[in-house]
Amino acid sequence: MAFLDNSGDIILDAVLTDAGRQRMARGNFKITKFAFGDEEINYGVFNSSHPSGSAFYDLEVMQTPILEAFTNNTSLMKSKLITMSRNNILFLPTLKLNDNTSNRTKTDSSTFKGGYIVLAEMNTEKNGGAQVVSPLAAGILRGESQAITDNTRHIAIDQGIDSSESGLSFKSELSDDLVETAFLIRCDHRLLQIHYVVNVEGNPAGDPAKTVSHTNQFVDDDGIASYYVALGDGTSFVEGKAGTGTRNIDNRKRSTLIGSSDVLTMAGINEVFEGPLGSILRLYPRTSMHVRQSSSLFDELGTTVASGTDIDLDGTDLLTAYKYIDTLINIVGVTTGYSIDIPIRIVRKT
Amino acid sequence: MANTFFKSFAESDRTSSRTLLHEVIPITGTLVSGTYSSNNNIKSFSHGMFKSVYDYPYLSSSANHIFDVSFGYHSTSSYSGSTSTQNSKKLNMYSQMAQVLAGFGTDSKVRRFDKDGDFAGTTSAADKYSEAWFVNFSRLLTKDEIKKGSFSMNIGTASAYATAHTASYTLTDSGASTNYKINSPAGEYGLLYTSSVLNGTSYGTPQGLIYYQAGVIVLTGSALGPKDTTKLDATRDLDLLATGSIDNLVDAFNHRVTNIQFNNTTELNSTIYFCRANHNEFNYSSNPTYLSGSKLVVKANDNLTPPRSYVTTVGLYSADNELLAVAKLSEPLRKDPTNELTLRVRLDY
Repeated sequence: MAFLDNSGDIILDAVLTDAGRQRMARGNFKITKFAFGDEEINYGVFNSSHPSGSAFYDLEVMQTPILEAFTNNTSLMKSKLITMSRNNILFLPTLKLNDNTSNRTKTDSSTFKGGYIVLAEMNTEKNGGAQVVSPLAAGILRGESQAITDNTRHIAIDQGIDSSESGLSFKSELSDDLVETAFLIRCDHRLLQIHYVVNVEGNPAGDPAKTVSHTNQFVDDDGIASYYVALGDGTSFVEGKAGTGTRNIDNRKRSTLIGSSDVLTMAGINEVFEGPLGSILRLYPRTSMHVRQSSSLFDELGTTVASGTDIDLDGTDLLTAYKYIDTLINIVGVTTGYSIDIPIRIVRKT
Repeated sequence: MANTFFKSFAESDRTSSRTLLHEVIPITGTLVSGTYSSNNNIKSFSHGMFKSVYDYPYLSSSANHIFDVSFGYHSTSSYSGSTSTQNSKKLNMYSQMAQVLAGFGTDSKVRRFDKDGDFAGTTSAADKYSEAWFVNFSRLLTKDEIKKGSFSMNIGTASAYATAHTASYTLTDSGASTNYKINSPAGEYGLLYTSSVLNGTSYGTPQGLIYYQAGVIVLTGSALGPKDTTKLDATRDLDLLATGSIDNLVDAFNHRVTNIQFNNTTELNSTIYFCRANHNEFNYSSNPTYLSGSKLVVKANDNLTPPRSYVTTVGLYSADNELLAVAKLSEPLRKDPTNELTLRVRLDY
């Protein structure tokens, strides 16, 4: 992947991606929309105090060498340009993994710090015993069981403004035009499927009782599945911004937060943003049938641990011999285009 | 206006075009005669119906097949007879090529190759090619078709086999770019002429046919010279159209070819997408470096400063958000509320 020659006129180097060629072969190649990307740009070199004046602010940005186009559809367009209806926006919300220490979405803090461990199948969930180990330690998620246990442990991605400048506070409301109402989720279809919670009758609005799988939009040529989830789509993936979110699944207190006169701390209300709070995406990753039924992918993609790096499942049970695969779940907010990767380690007892 | 990073194409944002690309294809006589690389670039087969010419010793994985050469005659040919060598194969070869290139008559019989291409008037042998050399070019060379009016072929015509190239003539399809035939089931074709003189005989009449889309040359059996005046060597005598094997006849033909040259044609069908960014679109970025503590780094703490972003990539998507094509700019383009951009992305098929 070389740099493009930028010594002459501006040129466009266009290629079909591998997914595009696959669709062409299948006969469903149809381009309907476009987006602009800027993944090579480091806005950190934008110098708004350049001594030579405003014409030089973006001098270094404009000198950025651009890489050739390549064909892997999942490796491109990581950051996109976005359209906002107003020009006076100074703060934009971002996405963060909610790893607040006192809630149910904490990441692992022992062998896979900063990520989540997903137990591949029932034998691993039972650690070779007769009963499933319960409750699991923080940061460890069940891969096969669909019944909600372990205090509804899951992955939560929060949206919000990460600043308290200019009087910004989580008690103030986030402008509607900045709120994420839909997300794109991508994960390796060979390894994972994405679930959401419903109540005992299967209603997403009730008290969580079990998880159900969500249907992906498509699986690309590299085996990456894409899911589109939106507020009000009949699932419980997306909760609205503070003031409208009512699930209160992990003591967020969002329904009474806006304008509250209480003295509150971020940790006290299990939030991760100092500024106005947007929506929440809640995921329950579960393992694929292939991962549950066979260890072949662990042999091909994974690592074997015989001993010495035990996983403490619940403070008592230690998983000592296992295989694991490290993967990512990619989340993109459809409104702001902000993207975040969540590290996942899938563990199978040997 | 929704806040989004996708923008749908309107009908007026896409158009299609067709472009013809041409390449010059020169083929030297050393390849054809097999003198290149100890003869290993000419491949013969046990069936003996044609020989294949490669640009490199054919056992090498680097070798490219460039064309095949064969010979055949019609049952009305004076050379056809039960005692003729490979009589049925020569008949079959002619019949196969004729039914594909000349097609069938109203009587459902295979038509013979017609000298002037009109398939009308006289049905006498004088108006037909009853004996023919066939040169079938590989698609690797001809691509979608041979460019009309670009073909030329030099043939050595001296009577002695060893010094065949001391005299020569050139076959061309001159004038074919504006004057060609369309009554073949295999597409458009033209007539091959020579402007030279061979052994005192002027060739004012066509010497063969060139099928542009099929990439096939059909030459009259006497294209290498009148059969009674041009002697080759003992096994490659054109007098021996009846008694020589196809392989030997092909060797004789190949020996006399000096050069072949033509332009091929590749038809490019393109769709052009006009990616338009209006003044109020795509002025912000989701690039992680765009923010510092959620604050836009390009605004210098002033929310009244217009936002700006820099385009380096154009992604083309399906309705379900799968990235189908991507285009990269050679340098970043600044986008802010004071400008509008139209980027033209062309996809060739």
